[in-house]
Parts: sequence; C-alpha cells; structure tokens
Amino acid sequence: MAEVGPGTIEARDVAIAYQMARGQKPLVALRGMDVTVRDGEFLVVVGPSGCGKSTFLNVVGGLFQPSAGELLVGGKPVTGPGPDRAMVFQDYALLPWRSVYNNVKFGLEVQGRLDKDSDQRIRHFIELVGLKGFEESYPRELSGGMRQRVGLARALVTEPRILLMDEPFAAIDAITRETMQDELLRIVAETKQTCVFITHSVDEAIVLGDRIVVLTDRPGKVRGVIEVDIERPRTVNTLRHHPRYADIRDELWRLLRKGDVGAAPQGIGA
Amino acid sequence: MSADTDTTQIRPTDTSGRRKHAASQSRWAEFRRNKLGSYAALVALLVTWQTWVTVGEVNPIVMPSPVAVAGEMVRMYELGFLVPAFIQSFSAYFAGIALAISVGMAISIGIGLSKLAQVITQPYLWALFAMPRVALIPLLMLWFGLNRQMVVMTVFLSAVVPLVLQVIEGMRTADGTLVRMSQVFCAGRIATLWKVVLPGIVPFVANGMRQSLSRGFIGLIVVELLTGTGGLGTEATRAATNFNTARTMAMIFIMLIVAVLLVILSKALERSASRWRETVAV
Repeated sequence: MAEVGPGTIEARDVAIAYQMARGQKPLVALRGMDVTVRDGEFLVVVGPSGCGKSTFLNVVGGLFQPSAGELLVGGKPVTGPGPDRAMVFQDYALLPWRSVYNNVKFGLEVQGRLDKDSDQRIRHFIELVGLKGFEESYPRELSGGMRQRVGLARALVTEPRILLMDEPFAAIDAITRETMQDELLRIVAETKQTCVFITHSVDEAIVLGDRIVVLTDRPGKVRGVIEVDIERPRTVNTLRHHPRYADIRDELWRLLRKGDVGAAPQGIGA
Repeated sequence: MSADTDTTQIRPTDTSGRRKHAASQSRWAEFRRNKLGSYAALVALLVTWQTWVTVGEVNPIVMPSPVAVAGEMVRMYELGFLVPAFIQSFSAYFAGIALAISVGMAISIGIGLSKLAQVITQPYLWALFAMPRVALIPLLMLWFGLNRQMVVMTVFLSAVVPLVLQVIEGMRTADGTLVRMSQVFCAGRIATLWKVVLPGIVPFVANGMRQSLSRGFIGLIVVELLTGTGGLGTEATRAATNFNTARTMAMIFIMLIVAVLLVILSKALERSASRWRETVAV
C-alpha cells in the first residue's frame, strides 16, 4: 500500500443514505464504497446515471457526512469542506453578477486569503486556462467552454491538494471538450494535484485517468478498477492510436455492461 | 459595402462611430414604427374632444374642454396650492415607500432564511396581497387619526406586501448549485448570504419595488381622496364637490403623469438591477 500524503483519499466502506421526506424510507445512494486515491493520482469514476458518483464527490468535498464507514483525506477524517479541496461543477456554478476576475477570486476571498500577491495569482490562473483578456467579461458573455475554464481557474487558484470534478465537460460541445481535456492534462501535469473526475464518457475516462473506477447501479459500490497503463504526457489525438487503447476500452465496456439490463452508458463518440 | 460588412464582423469595436450614426437613424425609424401612432392618436383625441365641447356647447360641469383643463392647471399653480399639495402628497408617499423598503427587506430576508417561517407566513402574506389594502384605511383612521401619519401608514401597507412576497420568492428559489459551490469553497453562512444569496435576489427586489411604487401610489391617492387629509387626492375631491370639473380633471391628469413617471423610474431600476442576467445569445 502506498504512503499517505496530503492528497490521499481513503474511502472505507462508505455509505450514504438520504432522508427524502419524514417517515419515508431513506434513499441509499452509496453502499460499501471502498476506494483509495493515491496522492497526485488522477482517478476517474464512471457508472450508470444515478449510481451515486456525484454523491461520492460531495462526500469528499465535505458537503455530506457518510452515514456509515469512514472517509479520510490526508489520513484524517473529513468533517466538512476545506481549502485543501476544490470543486468544478457540471453547470459551472459561476456567480452571474461577477466578472471572470471576481469569480476566480471567490474562493480566496471567502477563505480570507487575499493578500498582495493574490491579484498576480488570479491573473496567472486566468491566463493558464486561456482566458487572458476576458478578466472583465461576465459569464453571460462567454461560451460554455469558456465558462468552465473560469470554473477551473476558480478551483485552481486556491491551490487545493485535491481537485474534484463533477462531469465538468458534459455540457460542452464535442470539439471544445477535446481541447479542454488536453488542457486539463497539461495543467494537472504541472500542478500534480490529486484529481477525482466524474464522467459518463468511456473515452474521456481513458484519456484522463490513471485509474478508472466503475460503480454499480444504485446503491453504488465499486464494481471494478481499471489501470490505464498508457504513459504520459497524453493528448486526446495520440491516445486514440495507442495500441492499448482498444483493449482498455473493451475491458471498461465489459465492466459497465456486467449485470446491466439494456441501458448502455453514454458518450461512445465523445 | 461588402468590404464594410467584413470589417464589422472581424473587428466590431472599430466601427462604433458608424454604428452610433446608424443607431440614431434607426431610433427615428423605431419611433415612427412604434410610437408615432400613439402620439398622433392623442393629438386626434384632444382635437376631437375640444371640437365636440366647443361646437356642441357641452355643459362645462359635465365635460370641460382640454384647453379649460390646461388653463386650470396654470390657475392652480398661480393660486399657489398646486405645489404645496404636490409636496404634501409626495413627502408622505416617499416616507411610506422608504419605510416599506427598509421594513420589508428586513422582514422578508428574515422569513426567507427559515423554511419554517416561510411555510407559516406564506398563506397570510398571499391573503394580504389579494385583499385591497385600502380597506384598512378606516382602521388606520381610528388608530392614527386624520393626519399625515395615517397617510404614510396606508402607503406603507400598500407597498410593503408585494415587495415582501417577491424577496421571499427570490430567497426560496436561490440557486442551490451556487450555494453548494459557496460551501465547498469554505464560505460560512454569513459569507454565503452576503456574496451568493443576496446578490441573487436583486432582480426580485427590483421587481418587488416596481410593484411597491405603483401599489403605494394607489394607496396614497385613495387615502387622500377619502379622508381629506390634504395632497393631490384631497384637492381633486374638493374640486369635485365644488362642481369644478376642470380642476378635478386637471388633478387626474397630474396623477396620470406622475404614475407614468413612476413606471418609467421603476422600469429603469429593474433594468439596471438585472443587467447581468442571462440574455439570449446573439
């Protein structure tokens, strides 16, 4: 077993049950989730819709407490959100009344971390995600891809040890998505953060992940883990022609299909 | 010409001068298309009205001519009671509105923060919204007496309810994803309220204030008409009891103009408050 670093996530038999309404039977979203994410690893989570992928991410983010089991980040139990973790949301979650610059600033601001270097840091990360020149633009003036770049910069600027991404590219058109995947690979190769990335897309999972965790239907638990033994640096284009690509893809499909009644996962062409 | 179009597409900022010129031209075209007809109809109405009254020798107590009504406005001004009545009305009006905004915001944010308070108060707030609040005037007369305080309270009660309802609605529908985002980035409850929830309700506040301004104005005029406590409404009633129809109509026209100005003010307010809102992509 690998050493525990500040970016290590250990989920031990984690279960999450929601009480939807008083007197109703609780909805079990996750059951017996067991996974360890190594410090600096890029872990992709795939699984059928509603299998509790996002729930797992919210537990790591500290928004929910596990109903049972244990969740450790950096060896310590998670009791709530922390500046060591940041999240990128599927629907961007940008504040529409704030400019790009002020949206990126949000995390530093609420964590009370604004100092004389903040301005330079904010501008650096805006440039890193390719939005230089758009500092004073408002979200409504940006395309979906650009909005998600803002979301990414907002997470990166707080310099978290762990980057949590909840289907961040699902709402972005296919061409922009591939560019974004390449840029994300480039960025995390530099920052060496632990990443937990949720997706519906089989191809996206292989492009980005060091390992891929496949979850079962609700209540979700780990059905299998696939090691993506393709060397980095990767790009979307070179990867498609890699000899291991087709094998990994087959293996992933087999895991997703196992015990599956009809419904195929999405994102075949993505 | 085609070269021009190309530059416009590539560098839109460089052609701003030309655009401004084009804008002033199209503004006239738009005026002609949308508003010219309305103004022409107004002029036609006034001319017909004047002709009918003059040629038909209509009794001026029943229907004074527009010229007589305009003359009455000037006379009221010269007699020196138009401006004081105006000031009296609008000091009460704006006092009531200011009270409605400050008290209304505090109440509604308080209620908006608690699910329980929302559930408990909602039916009563809607009942208050549905009832004509001017029906409370007799009660207010008993409590406050026949004075300007009572007028202020009437404006306040007329104006506060729609604002409260709108603000609660805004807090209720606060974007869950944004709140979740704020929490993940470790914002506390107060920071989330200040930086995420409250800015998000600004369009609702503007909408509520728009309704408050017009409801408050209705309350003001009704209470002045009924109670004779001074102001524009009271002058209108007094003129009517003296069979001075021209003066009554002059007062009605002044109220009409004020009401239109209030609508313009509140629309501008609403527009500036929702500038950041999603617009349809061009």
